[in-house]
Amino acid sequence: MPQSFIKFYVLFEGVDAKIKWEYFVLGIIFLIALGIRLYYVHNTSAYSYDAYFSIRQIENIVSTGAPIYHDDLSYSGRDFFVLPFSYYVMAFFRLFLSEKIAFLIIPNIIASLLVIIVFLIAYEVTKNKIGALFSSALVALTPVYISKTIISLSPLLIAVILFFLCIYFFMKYEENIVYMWLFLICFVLLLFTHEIAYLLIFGLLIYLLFLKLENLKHVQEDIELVLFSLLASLWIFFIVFKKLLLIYGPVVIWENLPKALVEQFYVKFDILTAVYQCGVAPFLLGLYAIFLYFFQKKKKGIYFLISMILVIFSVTWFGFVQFETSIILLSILLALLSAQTFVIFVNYLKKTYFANYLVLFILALFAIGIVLSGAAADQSARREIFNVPDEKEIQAMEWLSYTPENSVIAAPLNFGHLITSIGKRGNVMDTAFLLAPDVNQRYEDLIGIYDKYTPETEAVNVLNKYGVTHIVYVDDEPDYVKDSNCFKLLFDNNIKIYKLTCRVEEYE
Amino acid sequence: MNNLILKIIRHRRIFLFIWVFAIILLLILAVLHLKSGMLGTETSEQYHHIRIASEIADTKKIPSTDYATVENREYIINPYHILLAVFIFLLGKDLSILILPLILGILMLLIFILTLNQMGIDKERVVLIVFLTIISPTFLNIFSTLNDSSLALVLMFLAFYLLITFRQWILQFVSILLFVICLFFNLFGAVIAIIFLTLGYSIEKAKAGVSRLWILMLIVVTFVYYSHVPLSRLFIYSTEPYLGVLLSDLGSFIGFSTFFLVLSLVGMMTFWKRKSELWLIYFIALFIFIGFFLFKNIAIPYALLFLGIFAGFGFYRIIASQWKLKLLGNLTLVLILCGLFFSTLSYLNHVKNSEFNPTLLQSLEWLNKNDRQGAVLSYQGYGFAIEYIANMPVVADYLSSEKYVNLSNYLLSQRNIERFGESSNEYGIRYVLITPEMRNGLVWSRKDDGLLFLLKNSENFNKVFDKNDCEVWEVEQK
Repeated sequence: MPQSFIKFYVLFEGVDAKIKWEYFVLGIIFLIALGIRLYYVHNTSAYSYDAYFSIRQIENIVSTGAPIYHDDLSYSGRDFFVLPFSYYVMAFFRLFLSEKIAFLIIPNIIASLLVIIVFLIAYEVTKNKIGALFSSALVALTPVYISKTIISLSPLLIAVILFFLCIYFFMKYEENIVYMWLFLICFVLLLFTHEIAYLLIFGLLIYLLFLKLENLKHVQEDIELVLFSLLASLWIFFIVFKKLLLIYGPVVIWENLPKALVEQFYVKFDILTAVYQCGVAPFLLGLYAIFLYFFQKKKKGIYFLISMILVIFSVTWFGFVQFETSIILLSILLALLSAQTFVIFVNYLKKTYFANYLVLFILALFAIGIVLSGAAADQSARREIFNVPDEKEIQAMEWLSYTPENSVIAAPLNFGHLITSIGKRGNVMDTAFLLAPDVNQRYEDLIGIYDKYTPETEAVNVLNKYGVTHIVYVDDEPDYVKDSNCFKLLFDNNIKIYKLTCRVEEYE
Repeated sequence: MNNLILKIIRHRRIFLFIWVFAIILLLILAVLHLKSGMLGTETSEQYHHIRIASEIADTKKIPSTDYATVENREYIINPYHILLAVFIFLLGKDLSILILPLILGILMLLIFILTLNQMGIDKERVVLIVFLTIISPTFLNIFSTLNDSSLALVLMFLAFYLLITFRQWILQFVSILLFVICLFFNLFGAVIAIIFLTLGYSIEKAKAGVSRLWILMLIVVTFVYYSHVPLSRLFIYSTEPYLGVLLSDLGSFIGFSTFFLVLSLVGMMTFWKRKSELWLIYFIALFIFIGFFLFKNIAIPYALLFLGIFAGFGFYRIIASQWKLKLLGNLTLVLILCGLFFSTLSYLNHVKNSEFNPTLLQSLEWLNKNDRQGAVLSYQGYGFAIEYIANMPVVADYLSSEKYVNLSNYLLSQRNIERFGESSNEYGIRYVLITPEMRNGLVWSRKDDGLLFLLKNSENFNKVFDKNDCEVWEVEQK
């Protein structure tokens, strides 16, 4: 038998053919996680505004085999920067599944798989099945993770799965070399999926530093694996991001966001929002574990998770990573650490007079965790579902496809991807800012033309500047549109679409 | 893989290969520069060096005043300008531009190898150190363009080599003399030269009295010489962000490749256990690191050879270690080599693709041909190019004092014609030169910002040159 096959066989050697109770419970948690997600999405046929960018990329991969690197519609013509792996995964499912299943059901199944990965990691750290199940249950109900992956089709969905798979494989590779290769494969795929790959590598470096500082035994292989991963990530970084680095320099980390939006996306760490988004239970229990292992106890697995938290917390604090992205990772890492607190608490109870009521206490802990996280998760998910394009907006975008093919549509920023994806027409601006031209000027101009008091000539001048033929008004039209000969109403279902009929000649 | 690399670096003709490789690389760069026909991009410092050196070669005397800006500043002597002037006098301008960097590059390598040998470093490590240094974009940039750091490095290492190798008083004296010359390049280089002399004496284990006397003398000369140099001339150049200057992978011409820095870090960590023995080298590294935050791209050339030594040791450590995960070890080596070569190729490509803005060049030649009088107001970064190509003074360049940089910014952002008129009359500003880059963020971000508003609406300006949005406006004098 080939050596590699034997190694793979060894991986599954310990797995009993008979389903163990913990796997049964884990299965139930998985189904609950999936059920909750499907409950929220079953009534919606739309996706979040930004998801339409992903849909275009996926559809393009399905039809041509490659993502869109140059687009004539977005910003009326520009290049895209794309890390393509997640789009290829989605495109694979889109090949043989309907749109609704591929874009709504499959992403939620993938997202729910995280509970299994979390169980494996938590078990690896605590060696306690109930503690690991507790973590899984918390992750299944993490508010920010549910809300940001439910209808967004964001690459972050696959990235989070890969991120935690990497963590799991890194913890396991000493047992079997196959895990090392699995780690490397997942890591490379992560590098082509999302920028959070670089948080992982920083986390690994901090972890090695921790081991050194705490005089914990580490094997040479740790250093070798981290060194290789570091160099691989550096190399891929400079190949993939070369063009961006040359254009934007180090400020590329802010993704060329218009200055007015940087603070909105890269908000400084806000503790109350963090508690709400992570869920109260994982936040408190996770923090307790950090406190305990920082000052009193030593454990490699916990240090690994703490290193990741430190890195993510620091980069978020300095505004280098989008707050939502980091809070998703932090919430899952804190849920993982909660398993350790859970085990400590249960072990403590065993030594007290309440040992006889242990099962009751465990059930109570599960209940508290689920209720606290569940309530916040419900609110977040409802808000997300509420915040998708409504039927009228979709109709308006569909109507745009009847306009002449070379039309350029001005619309509020969040409509940018809807225009290119559903209307198949050029836009002035959308939220794919990297490599987009003059984002600050365009954003300012866009705000200006939706300002109620903007003079007509100025508005028309700006619209002319971008070659706009049609303009979409979601709320009430500004004063300059009313009684104007330059704007002709063509579509109205509360969303109004006007055709621009004037040109302002610039005085030289 | 590591055995193969070890076999290669132990080959008896490896140095021959390295010499040939270095010369080929420098020649390729020379050809690339020759092809462009210009001394780098429009913001290059080379135009400053060639202008001063040409003036010295023409007049056969060192100027006391530099009339290149309206400031009429004092010329601060730079030994590189004198050497370049000698070359121009002997070989002509075009040949000097090609030959001088190449000669200095070859000399640098020779002295560097001799110094490393003299310091008792074994052949394998010397090969790696030299190899990593040669393929570093920093080395390639310094020794393929007109850069005063190239001469400073050659002189400093030559002085150091003489100091640690020879006992004869005459050679020791020559060494001190070379160290003294090193003081005149810039303040940062002067401090490095003093530390280098200290390092030399610590290696040589010279008599404390003599060594302290010379070190003290160098400190006094530095202090006296730089005490009258304006502060703005001591901390000059790049306004780019630190990482943008430090990393060639982020577009810096003079920056290091990331893999080179990683290997240096590995090298530093390797030696950390011997820090008490090598404290002076760590001190220099720390000083250069701190200096980088003050002097930016002036500090980088001085860091090159130190980091090169650490990088060589770091790379050797990686090659020579017994990897537990052998396949991963091989892959790591492949990655490092790919990363290093990738940076070099990327640098070559960057040089090939970066050219002097052709319409700006036309406008400067137009200004030159028409033998115009008065000063030119434009972006500070174009200062050196305007001074050399248009042969006209500018309001401010990268060497200008704060007052004139502020004046330049004040005038470019001016929307009041009377205030602009007062200043332009006072400083004899006759032309305003504008490029599309200046309109799109380099100076202004809106089409009616600052002076653009005046140019559009005032009758006091006449557009006298316009090609592809590169414009020259004449200011009416009152």
